[in-house]
Amino acid sequence: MTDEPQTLPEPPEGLVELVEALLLAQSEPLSLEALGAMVGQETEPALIEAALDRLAARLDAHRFIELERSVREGRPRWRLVAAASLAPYLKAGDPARPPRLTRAALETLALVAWRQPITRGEIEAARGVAVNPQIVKQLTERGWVRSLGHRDSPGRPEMLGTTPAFLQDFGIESLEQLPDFERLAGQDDIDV
Amino acid sequence: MHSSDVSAAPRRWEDATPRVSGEPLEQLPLDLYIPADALAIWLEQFEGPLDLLLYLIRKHNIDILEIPVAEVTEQYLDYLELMKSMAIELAAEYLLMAAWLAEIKSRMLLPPEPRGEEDDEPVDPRAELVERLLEYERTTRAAGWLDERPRRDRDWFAVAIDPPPNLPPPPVPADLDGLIGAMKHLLREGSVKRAHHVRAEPLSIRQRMTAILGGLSAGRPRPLSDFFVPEEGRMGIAVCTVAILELARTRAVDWEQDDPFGPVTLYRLEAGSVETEEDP
Repeated sequence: MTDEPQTLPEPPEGLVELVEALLLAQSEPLSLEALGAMVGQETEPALIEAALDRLAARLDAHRFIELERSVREGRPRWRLVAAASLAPYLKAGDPARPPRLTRAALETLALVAWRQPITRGEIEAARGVAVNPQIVKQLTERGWVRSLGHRDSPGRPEMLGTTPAFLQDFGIESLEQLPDFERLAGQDDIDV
Repeated sequence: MHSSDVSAAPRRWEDATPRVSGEPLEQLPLDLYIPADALAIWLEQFEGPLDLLLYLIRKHNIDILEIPVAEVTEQYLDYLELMKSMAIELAAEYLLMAAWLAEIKSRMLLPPEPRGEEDDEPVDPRAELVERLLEYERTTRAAGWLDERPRRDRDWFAVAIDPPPNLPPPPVPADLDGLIGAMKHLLREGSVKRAHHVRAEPLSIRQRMTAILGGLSAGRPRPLSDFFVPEEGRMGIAVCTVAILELARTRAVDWEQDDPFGPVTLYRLEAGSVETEEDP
């Protein structure tokens, strides 16, 4: 074996398997700290990093599963995911996978994401058409949109916002990472 | 027939040009020849009046700040007519937009309204429309941005094994101080509250009501004290009392007392009302 990392120490026996199992058992991306807390505080972060390194090297050869590294709140996090290449096989086994998002659903989701807390009335105003209740239901059922309570104004309209699962499922670190809404289309670039 | 090319509806209006037999259909046919259902499918994919209007503006390369309202209104109405003729059910919003466009058009003909206190530029009657269009344009771009993100269950899948259910609770980290503290606490509890070690769960009022009725089944009165179990402590007395009150309220039992502070006798009322009512 020549894939020995130079700077990282040798992880003790079983640590690579333990880290792999922990990542498998958690759907959330895990930081070094979170892994350390689970493995035991006496294990050096460098050892866990080494174990992650080994795991990544081993999964490199895997066609369908990868160790995904992302950064959230300034910290690297790891998670095991199955790549898109798995999709056709999954689809063959389970035709009832979530349907693709329509343009209307995507636009509604975008407004909720950028303009939250937003009411149905405001979504309607922005899109120029009535909000299809099925779309809000679909987005809620997929765990992306939730009610943030009711606005204290006549009619007490419900305010909608996004969930942490929305960020996770779309691979967005935080709402601040969304591009500036005002600059998505300005008066400068629309008359191209 | 190559209408399958058409049915793959484009997602955004930028590339909304329908293709018929592989050829892009740039212009509406002037002689009103309508190729199969291509036009209907293409027209149906507009997400609303703002979408249609933006399409028209884009198509004619119009500066959004200088919308020639009369021209755009005419074209908009043409499209509505076309959609009606294709028996596409038009949402009310389309007609509302038509009315709004007509209003803006007529306002453009009037001299600008003075704006009151400050001598700013007069309000452009189109200003609100422009803002709505820009807002919608941003929304479509935001939606496009979201759609391009790698998405769970489309571009990647969460890998997870479920840990076995009923995992034992993790061991609590303990040190000597904590242990001594806990021990002291237990000792204190034990000496002060010995009589209070009553488990609350087994004492259900419903259950007790049934037990009382069962104990009175022969129709013979029994002293109230029979129904209290001293080992159950205060909670037991409370549950028992509530159970008897509840039974009395539903006219299942009643009691009598011959002297003040004398023994209370519990007896059952007539057989017809013995069922414990679930919903009093």
